[in-house]
Amino acid sequence: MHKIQWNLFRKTKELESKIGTFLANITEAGDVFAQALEAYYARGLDDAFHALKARVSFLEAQNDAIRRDVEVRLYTQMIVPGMRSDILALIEGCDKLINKYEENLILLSVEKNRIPKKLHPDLIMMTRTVIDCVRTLIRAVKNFFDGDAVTDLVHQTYRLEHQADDQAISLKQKIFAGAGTDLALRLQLKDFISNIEKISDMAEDAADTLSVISVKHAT
Amino acid sequence: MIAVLLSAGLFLGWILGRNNLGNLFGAAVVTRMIRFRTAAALACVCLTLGALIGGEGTASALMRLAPLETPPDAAVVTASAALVLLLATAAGIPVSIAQTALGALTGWVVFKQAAWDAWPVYRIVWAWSVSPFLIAGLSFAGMLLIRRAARRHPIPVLWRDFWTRAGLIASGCLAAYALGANNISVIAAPYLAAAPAVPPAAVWALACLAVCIGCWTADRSVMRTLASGLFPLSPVEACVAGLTMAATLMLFSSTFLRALFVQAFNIYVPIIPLPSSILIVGATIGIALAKEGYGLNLPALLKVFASWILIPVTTSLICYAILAILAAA
Repeated sequence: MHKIQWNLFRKTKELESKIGTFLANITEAGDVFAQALEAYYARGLDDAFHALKARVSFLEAQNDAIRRDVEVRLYTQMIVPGMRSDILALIEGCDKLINKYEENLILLSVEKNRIPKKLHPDLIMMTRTVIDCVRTLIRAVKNFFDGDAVTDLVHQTYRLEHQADDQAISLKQKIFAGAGTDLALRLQLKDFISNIEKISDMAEDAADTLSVISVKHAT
Repeated sequence: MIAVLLSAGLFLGWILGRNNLGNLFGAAVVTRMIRFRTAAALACVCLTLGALIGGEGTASALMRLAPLETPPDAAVVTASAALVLLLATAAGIPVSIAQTALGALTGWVVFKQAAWDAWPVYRIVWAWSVSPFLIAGLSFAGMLLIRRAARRHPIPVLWRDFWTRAGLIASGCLAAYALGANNISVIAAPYLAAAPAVPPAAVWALACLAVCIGCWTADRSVMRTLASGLFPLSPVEACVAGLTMAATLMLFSSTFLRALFVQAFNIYVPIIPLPSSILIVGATIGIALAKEGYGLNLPALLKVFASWILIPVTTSLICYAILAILAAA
């Protein structure tokens, strides 16, 4: 019996460590994503941008491997049998965020968007709001796994998501205001902004999932 | 001949093991916290230890109840109890070996018109009346304490599962030990009283063996029914139910605790076999009250209350009928 309990102790510790790494990677990927965008605005597709893009891709690949490993562990080892599907839904919701970071950088490197300098400050501000939204969500998820309250952080995530939406709308209004810019460029810029804004929408969806799970599994 | 007569007791032991595995580890197995085989193995070890270390007190209490004279008497009493136990379980009625044993012994006393000391009966009635309230109170308090502790010292989600599992295993083992100390005597006592040719060690060993085989052959669907019938218990609630059941059973099995209560509170606690079904119902009610009665299955509860009277009466009638048939034959 003590051998069974020791194995379970070790397995639980390993799973806890993997989930911790998974969440830390998402936070780091967000910071690197913001740095990559700022590097692009400043100098275009230079080595610094490509290095940062590679770093996000590496973190995304690592998180995919962790996610699959966690799925296998939850179903083959007898850990949290009553919460498996909920934990996996939460992890998959968070994994979409890092996937979107990578996707946006790849799209940027392929489409080589021409971004007017006058939009840079607002874009940087919107990106930081989106990253803050994701960081708050990850803190809420960590709190959930630590057994702490998540409500305040979930509401903060919602607030940041609304703020990101407002900033995105304001940016799009600036893009389509006045004359002189080619329509194709305006549409490309609009899509670029929408893709960044989508990250905060995904964070809001994950926050909704977290909110339900935390109520469902309250003691 | 003695083997045939012992088979009734072995059958009763098998049913005890089969039925009670659900009470002891049902919630843990149904919620996949532990595997069925692990639960059965733990139950076997703990039930046996409880019976061998602490079972003598309740065996003596039962032997004082009815002065069984011959091995066939012991066989008829245990066979009647086993039959009612089997039928009630098949009908989905929570029933306990102690209830059927009391009924069968009463039937024997009435048939034989034997001299009967009423004092042991009064103590049994007192203990069976008080114990559900005691365990309900303990379960109620236990749930409130756990909630308060969980709010003040939140446990990480992944570790909550680990500690709940450890708690379920510990409470199941303690409850199994206490059940062994309190209930296995019901199987052994008739033979200890009426079959002096069989060594007492052999009687206890066979009783424990029968119970262990019953645990290994327990029906998973019965476990699921027991786990969800009256009020589906979460793993934490099952922990509380197991611990309070263990505490209550030990209180009515241990001569040490009896002496302690007399010294500390001037309360005499009789050493009496308690029906585990009554205790589980009491624990479930206590836990449900801690959740403001949410989810309690009242029709099932009324069915259980009715069975507490009907089961001993039915068993005594069956025992009386078997004795009458054998006497006429």
